[in-house]
Amino acid sequence: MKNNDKILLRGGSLFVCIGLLLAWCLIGSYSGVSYVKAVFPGDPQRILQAHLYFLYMGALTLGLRATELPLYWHIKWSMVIGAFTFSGIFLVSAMFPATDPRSDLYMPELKINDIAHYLSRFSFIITTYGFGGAGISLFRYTVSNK
Amino acid sequence: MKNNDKLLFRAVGLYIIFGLLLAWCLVGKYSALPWVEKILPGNPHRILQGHLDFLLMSALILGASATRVRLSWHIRWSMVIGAFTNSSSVIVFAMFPSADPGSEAYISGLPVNNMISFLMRISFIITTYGFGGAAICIFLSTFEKSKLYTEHLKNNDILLLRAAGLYLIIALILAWTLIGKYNGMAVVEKLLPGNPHRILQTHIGFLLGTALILGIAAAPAKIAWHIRWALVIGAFTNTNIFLSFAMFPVADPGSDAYLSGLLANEIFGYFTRVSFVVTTYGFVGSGVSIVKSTFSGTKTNF
Repeated sequence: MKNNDKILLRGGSLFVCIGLLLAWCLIGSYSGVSYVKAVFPGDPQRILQAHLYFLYMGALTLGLRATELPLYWHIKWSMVIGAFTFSGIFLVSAMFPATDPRSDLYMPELKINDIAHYLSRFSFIITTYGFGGAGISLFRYTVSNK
Repeated sequence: MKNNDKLLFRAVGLYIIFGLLLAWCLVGKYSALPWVEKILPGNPHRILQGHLDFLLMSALILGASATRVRLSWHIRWSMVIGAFTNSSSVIVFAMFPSADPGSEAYISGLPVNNMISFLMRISFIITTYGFGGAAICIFLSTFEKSKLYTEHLKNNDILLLRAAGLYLIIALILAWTLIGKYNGMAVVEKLLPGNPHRILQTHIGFLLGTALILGIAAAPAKIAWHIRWALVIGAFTNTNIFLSFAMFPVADPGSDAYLSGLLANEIFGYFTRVSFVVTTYGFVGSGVSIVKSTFSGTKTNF
């Protein structure tokens, strides 16, 4: 197994599994299944967004793993953590509609929303560092390996 | 580095960065940052589309590169140019709302709009040539008699690569069908009278399915035959549910023409549930097999 493989393979595969699980939650939400509604009382569109992002991130992570490029450990970890937290933001909005700015139940005055706001920005930075770092590494690799 | 890789890797490196840059522009747009608002005054949905397109195209190119199939230089260049122009065309709409047919600010008949429309058609042709060519090469590479046959195929590869090649071709055909639908082509309108959004969903579903299947096929894990078949059948049937909605609006719960209580719709409902189960078995099974392969001494380890 190559040096990249473990973390990216585990991360990418888990994202695919979570994406599929969310597809079932979406069906449950549309079908009005009570326990799904209890867990995700917010907009089902948010579950759909999370489902799609987990699949996109899964495909990208597995695709980048397939390049067999030697990536730094901090870039690999940032990719995996960033992909998870970035996609998870939509799940939080579906679980707690009071934190979803697009929801009628949104409460901007809540302290927790300020924290959620900074956490989501932090997640964007980690995702950018991970995937941006992988993008730059990929580009640099093609320049240094003539 | 394989012969395919240099151009494709370089392009993907850039496209991932573009995708992320657009994500930040989207954050800026929602936060009403004045300079983002100035550069991208159009619909934020167009920025989101551009962001997702760049990520999806990157995943597809990485998947195609991971197959190690020899692709001609013109196919590779078409993939790279097509992926860029196709994804950035929606950004042009975000920059100039008067050119965006989905915007209220759209000014029809402007010469510059006609030119953008013409350039977009050329971009679609290049994208189709690049990705369609790659899809055919990937499909042919699984046949021993083909010149493109790759001897290093692992046991996973033949079925998965064949399916990925076919799905990519279907996705491209659907993209052209969608254009036909938006232009009111009689044949398309007759075949697919439903909501064009359903054709778009099918198109994206096939692209995403292809990218995921190629990523899974490239993983160094042994995947059982029943999981591989479930993956392939599930990805096909699950995506085609949306196409069925476009073909039969009476079966589409999101359509005004939906007829609840129809026996055919009930049967279709059961079919979709079976499809979801098969898809789940395929994708989750593959995911679990790949995770297991990262632990030494397991059966799925190569």
